[in-house]
Amino acid sequence: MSLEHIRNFCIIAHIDHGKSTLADRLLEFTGAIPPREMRAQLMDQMDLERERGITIKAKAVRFFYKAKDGKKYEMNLIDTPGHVDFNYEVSRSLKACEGALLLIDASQGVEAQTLANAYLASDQNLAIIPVINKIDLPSADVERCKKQMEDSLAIDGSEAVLASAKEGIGIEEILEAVVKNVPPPTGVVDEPLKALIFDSMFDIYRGVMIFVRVINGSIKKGTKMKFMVTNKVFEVEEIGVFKPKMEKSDQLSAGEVGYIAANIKEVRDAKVGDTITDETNPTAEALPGFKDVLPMVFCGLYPVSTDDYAKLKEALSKLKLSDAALSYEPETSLALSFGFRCGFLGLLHMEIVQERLEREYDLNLIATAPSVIYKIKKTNGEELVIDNPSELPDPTLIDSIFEPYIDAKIIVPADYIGVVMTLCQEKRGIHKNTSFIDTTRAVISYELPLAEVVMDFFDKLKSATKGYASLDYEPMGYQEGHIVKVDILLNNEPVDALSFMVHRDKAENRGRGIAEKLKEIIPTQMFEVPIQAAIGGKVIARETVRARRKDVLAKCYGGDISRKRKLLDKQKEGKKRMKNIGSVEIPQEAFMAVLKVED
Amino acid sequence: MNAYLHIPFCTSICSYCDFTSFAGQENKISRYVDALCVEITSSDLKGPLQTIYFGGGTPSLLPPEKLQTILEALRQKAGFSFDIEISMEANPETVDEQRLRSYRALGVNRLSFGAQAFQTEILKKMGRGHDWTIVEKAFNDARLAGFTNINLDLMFGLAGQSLSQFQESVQKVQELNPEHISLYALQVEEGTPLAKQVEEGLELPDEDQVADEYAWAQKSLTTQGYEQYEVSNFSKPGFACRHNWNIWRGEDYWGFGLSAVGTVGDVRHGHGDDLMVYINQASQGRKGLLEKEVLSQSVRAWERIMLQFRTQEGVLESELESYVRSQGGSSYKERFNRFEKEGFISLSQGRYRVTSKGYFVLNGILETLMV
Repeated sequence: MSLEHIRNFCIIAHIDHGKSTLADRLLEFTGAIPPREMRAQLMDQMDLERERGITIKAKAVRFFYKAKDGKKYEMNLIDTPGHVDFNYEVSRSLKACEGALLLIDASQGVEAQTLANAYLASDQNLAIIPVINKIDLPSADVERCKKQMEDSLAIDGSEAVLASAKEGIGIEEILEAVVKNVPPPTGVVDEPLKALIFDSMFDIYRGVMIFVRVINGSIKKGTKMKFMVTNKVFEVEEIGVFKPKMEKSDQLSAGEVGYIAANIKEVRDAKVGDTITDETNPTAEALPGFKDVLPMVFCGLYPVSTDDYAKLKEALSKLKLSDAALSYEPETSLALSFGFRCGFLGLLHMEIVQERLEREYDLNLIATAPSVIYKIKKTNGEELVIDNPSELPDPTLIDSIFEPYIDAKIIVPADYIGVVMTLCQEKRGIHKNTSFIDTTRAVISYELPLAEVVMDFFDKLKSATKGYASLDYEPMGYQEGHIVKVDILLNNEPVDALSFMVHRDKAENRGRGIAEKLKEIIPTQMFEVPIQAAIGGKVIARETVRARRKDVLAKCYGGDISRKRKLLDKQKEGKKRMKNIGSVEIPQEAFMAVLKVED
Repeated sequence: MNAYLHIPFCTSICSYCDFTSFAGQENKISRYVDALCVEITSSDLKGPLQTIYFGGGTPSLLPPEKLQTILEALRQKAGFSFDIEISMEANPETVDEQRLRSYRALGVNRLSFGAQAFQTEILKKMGRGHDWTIVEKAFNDARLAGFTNINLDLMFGLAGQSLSQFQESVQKVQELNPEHISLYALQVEEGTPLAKQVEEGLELPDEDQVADEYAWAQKSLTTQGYEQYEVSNFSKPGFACRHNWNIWRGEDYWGFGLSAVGTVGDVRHGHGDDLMVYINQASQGRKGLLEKEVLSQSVRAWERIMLQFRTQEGVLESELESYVRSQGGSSYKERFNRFEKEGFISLSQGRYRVTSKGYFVLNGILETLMV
């Protein structure tokens, strides 16, 4: 197919604005799938994604559309993840396109990720086609959406296609707009191969499958492809496209999008954003913009039963095959024994990984409080980077501690500006700017310490704004902060898994909050259990779990012995799910308590 | 050998009770006793019997001639030891001096009355059919009938009962000066009317009050010359219930009758709890009557430890060691040292014993021994 008749585009939207449904409709309308074979929201593959209504891994689907101009077009739809944790992946997916459908829910209007994604798309010079979706809903307010688009995105509202993906309204208009407004790809088939890896996935039969956009040249089975960042060379074994079923093809040429399998064992060999070239005829320069995705949030993951350590290790190594952003290394905790320090792109990523480990690998896990990466300057001038409170050097050796900040944009109805600002202020935020999208909604910009955000910021933001606020953020470097490590002592022994880093001003409150929470959670024991929060040797909060007063079976006679024995077994079994630390039985929730404490 | 016989008849069912018993079925007592005797006769019971215990239900609903039939069956089957203890549970409202004389004459030498509480309104709430004057009368009648070994049951942690009301109950019992007092903390058993009431919001005294009551009673009874020889049992010296003692020591015992359980060697046998099924099957001498559970060596060893720790006899340190070792167990020693330091247990002459303070948290002590 000549480049003239190829359109590479994606759909960008805030979560739940109907992206997956629209993708389904486009495939259905163009006959890529007969309607009755349609599995709802086909592009979301994993159950988990389906359940959460989010798309984790972008996929590319090819379909053909016969436009009103009588010509047949090859349409490559590239799906993008919609959550802030996957910002870099989104940007690479956008890089594979010439245009983007900017989907806006007619009743919700412009949201934080609408803005963030629209900015990303215009940074990449993509043609943006605004689509106002869900116009069939009674609460739809098309005019308001148009106004918001004009005010906050400088997009002409009159260009918006009105649609309801659910009802199949506006689908043809969208396709026509893509044909008309998205420019065809440019590229030269005769030049040396240059292709962008914009995504990858792991297939148990083929190994890592990479999704590519060919910029120049062409690639086919047998090509010795070289990844310019990792410097690895692989021979192409299979090449093809998803239509949406996987279909082999002979080659991919400049302007086209498809998948490649090359017996690649691990996703980290094929990094998103890397440039592929032909080893025998290499291109001079790699594509710009490659970034190594680095985890930003860390936590310890431990099996509840220490016997499951090997199982957890295997599960992590399997997950890692398909998730380049996940990092892990063995970690030992006095309290929780053997586990792993795991790194994630963000909170959602962390949640997804934990859930997959528990669900797909049948593991029962304890997660410690999430931490960020701190940079430490020691008095002797040495610099350290730590992601675990236990690695913090002795306070006397520390000159200063730097913590990561994010640039957060929160979109919220005007009524909630006050509560959001109060919340950000509590979270040590630095107010940058507040502007209005329209008369009813504002964009509030804050610089916030990431450590505060990973604690409970999302939950609080949601409850403070009755769910109306939307948030987007990007990292913005490090700033010095008065950070201290708070230890929690049970029965006078520090429980390493409960230690946390916190700003000095908040240490007392949080320490007290955690001590109180632990007092509620830890059941009474045979002995009194003192709970203390301490900075260094200084105790900043103290609580006591009372000793159990009466725990004995009143009767145990001849007829009862079997039953009473089983009763004791059951009571004991219940306690097996607790961790025994310093002769104190601690339920799993205790380790999460650190997260759920008000400042 | 020891024998337990279950008499599953009551005039009414108490709200907290989860033993197998039926109200308004007294017309079946005669057939039941016949079935029971067939079961005894066709069993493998080997004597001589050291103890016999009639539990229920309300064994004192048995007319003396029925009791005689049962005892005769036992005597013929197994023979009685010269110093046999024959215990019988009785509800105060079901007996008078004459009936008690008859029981005594038949060989019953230990009586156990369910007194439970002093306050009439509390007894009523529990579904008991007597008040304190009836308890006093039954007790005095028993004395007149010649009983010199009498137990009174009391309960604590009862709905609507204050600490001082409980104390009053204990004092009232002490005034009667029985040889033995059983003191049971109320336990809410699944499926009982009480469990339903609790679910519907009936409030019970909290852990603190229950513990205070237990502590107060321990102190009061021991100053009055009673020894606490088991978690819930106090007696004057020499008046511990031998039947229960023997079972707690791990001796064999036969269970006869509906829902009765026994343990002989490594087999625990039990009965179903359908009255008519029992009567029909037992009267035909059916072997299939018994439900059997084979106890592994480790279960038997554990049960012995679990039971002996409930009593003042305690457990041999060596027995404990070998049990824990056989389980591939961890060091219980460290915890036990702490328990000893805290005064929950004592170690003397190679035996661990739970102290009066330790009885409060016996489950926690036992758990440290479980792998």
